[in-house]
Amino acid sequence: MINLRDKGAEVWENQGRAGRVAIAVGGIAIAASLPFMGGTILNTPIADYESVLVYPIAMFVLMAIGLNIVIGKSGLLDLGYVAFFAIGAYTMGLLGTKTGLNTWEILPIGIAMAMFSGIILGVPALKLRGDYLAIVTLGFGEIVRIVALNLGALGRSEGIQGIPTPPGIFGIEYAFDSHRIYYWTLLILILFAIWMVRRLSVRRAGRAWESIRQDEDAAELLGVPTFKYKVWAFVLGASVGGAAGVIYASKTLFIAPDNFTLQISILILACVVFGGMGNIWGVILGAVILGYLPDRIRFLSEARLLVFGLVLVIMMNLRPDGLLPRKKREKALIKKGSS
Amino acid sequence: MNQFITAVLTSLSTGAIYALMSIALVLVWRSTRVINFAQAGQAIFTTYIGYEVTIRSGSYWVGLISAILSGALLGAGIDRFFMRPIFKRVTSGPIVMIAPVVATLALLGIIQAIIGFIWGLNYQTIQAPVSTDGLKIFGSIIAFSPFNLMVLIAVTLSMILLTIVFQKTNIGLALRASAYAPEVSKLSGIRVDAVRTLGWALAGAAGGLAGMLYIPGSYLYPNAMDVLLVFGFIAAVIGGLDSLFGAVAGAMILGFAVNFSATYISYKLVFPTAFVILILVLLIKPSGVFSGKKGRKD
Repeated sequence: MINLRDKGAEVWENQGRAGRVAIAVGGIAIAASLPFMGGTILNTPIADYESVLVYPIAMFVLMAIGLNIVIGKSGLLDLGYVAFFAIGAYTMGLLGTKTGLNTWEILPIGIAMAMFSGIILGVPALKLRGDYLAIVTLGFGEIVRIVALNLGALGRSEGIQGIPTPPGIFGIEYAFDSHRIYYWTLLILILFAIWMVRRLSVRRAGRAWESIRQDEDAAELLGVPTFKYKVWAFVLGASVGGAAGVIYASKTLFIAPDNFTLQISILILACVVFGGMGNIWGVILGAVILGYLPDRIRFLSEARLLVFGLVLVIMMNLRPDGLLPRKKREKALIKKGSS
Repeated sequence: MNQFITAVLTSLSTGAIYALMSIALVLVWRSTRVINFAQAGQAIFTTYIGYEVTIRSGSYWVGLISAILSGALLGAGIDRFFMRPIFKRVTSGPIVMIAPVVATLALLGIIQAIIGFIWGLNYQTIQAPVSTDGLKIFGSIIAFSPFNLMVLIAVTLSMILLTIVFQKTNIGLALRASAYAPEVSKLSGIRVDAVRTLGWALAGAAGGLAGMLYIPGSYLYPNAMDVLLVFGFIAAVIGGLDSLFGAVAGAMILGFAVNFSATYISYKLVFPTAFVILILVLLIKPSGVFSGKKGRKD
């Protein structure tokens, strides 16, 4: 089977410094000009192209990158990722309506809150593995939603309304319907997340995650502090989810517990697995496809869950490593190791 | 006093429902080493079938039997046509651990979407065959109905039946053997794949029964069993995931803990209590309270 991931990596590795900068700048330019490229043909039945670009596409991409650190990079099955998204969103909602802080001041607080809850969940939960971890994180995601549903300060089932939009910076104003501004904001966050993941991947943390993903016991025996790096992966993933939540609350102006169901966790998981766990470009591709297509095709938008389910089952049967799998070299290493 | 008796009796009947779900999960875990997230979907789907048959035939009992049978069929079909190919295909790499979980989650989504297409998302009710009004004890009405009693009896009977099957028949021996040592069982001439499908079928039947016993006291909608799945899992973990007896005992412990905290402290504590129990068991004795064997490896 053809492997686009390897082709892409080959092109990248054969470039000099200038070539790489050119590719990166070109890629960013194309991504940034996406709002101008859409014709009406890309509109979906429920929303126009530009707003779809913000939610779900860019939002899904950002969250999928975050979840990929946890699932793809270090192999920890997290089914409660929506919790961190919710914590970011509720931090924004609460502080934005109760205090005078604006979105940019709340963003680091929201990220910190998400990271902190990542530690709270991660320290007990990451002693577990596989399915056990999956069910505990799933439970955590539900707990967060149920707390929001029952706590008067969080508005119970009505949620929080009238969340302020971000104040303008550098002379750019955030109007409620100026979707492209939000898209660019998210794009900056996405680029930052990609940069963070790529930097970490080639350093100690990335190597530790890789070894944990392949064989945790062996990694532990070789002296990798596996628990520490698992918590780190969890916390970094949480921070990206928290950031996405802050921007989401600031964009929709209204949040309620119903926005943070288990379904979101599963959709993001679907994006990661569909695109190719562990490979950031695959994950982005998966999130773009799964974020956009069900909205675009009217028949599908009513059956989003059905489509996601079918796609996942078919993928697991035909191409379990995703659309753009990780490098073959890594897989060969794994095969050798397990036989 | 009445409050106490009510709490004990409701604990027993909710515990009985948890026990069915927990047994369904344990049966699949023993044979496949997968937590079957689709169990909630399978159970609710077969409950819908039972609901449809109940309405058409006018008899709850016909509906109950068709729910159990269709549950068994659905379980066997899912194992044969979805899970087995995945296990054959995915054999190495980190995806091995994640693929089955993703597949069962995906099945859950598919089944619930199909229910939405066929029956819609509205709340339905199934008429219970016996009264759901509270019984009278010491001159006051308590929240325990003849239907709850029926649930207890039905679950007890099915436990006895399951125990007989597992302990006294050749099929039960094959089920136990291939859960304990699949390789050796294969060498001894047991068709492990077929036995695994049988395990899934039994689990599906238990899920159908759980649905038909739970829904008359509640409402029927596509997500109605999701909470039961989580409670069933927690009960299974308390019991050690491997043991059928542990699953029942864990379900009873959970039923009592949840109902007593709801009765005496606050009904909002149902989910947090269960979650705290889960975390405590996993941290202190992850192999389960009733598991005789040494701790699991992963």
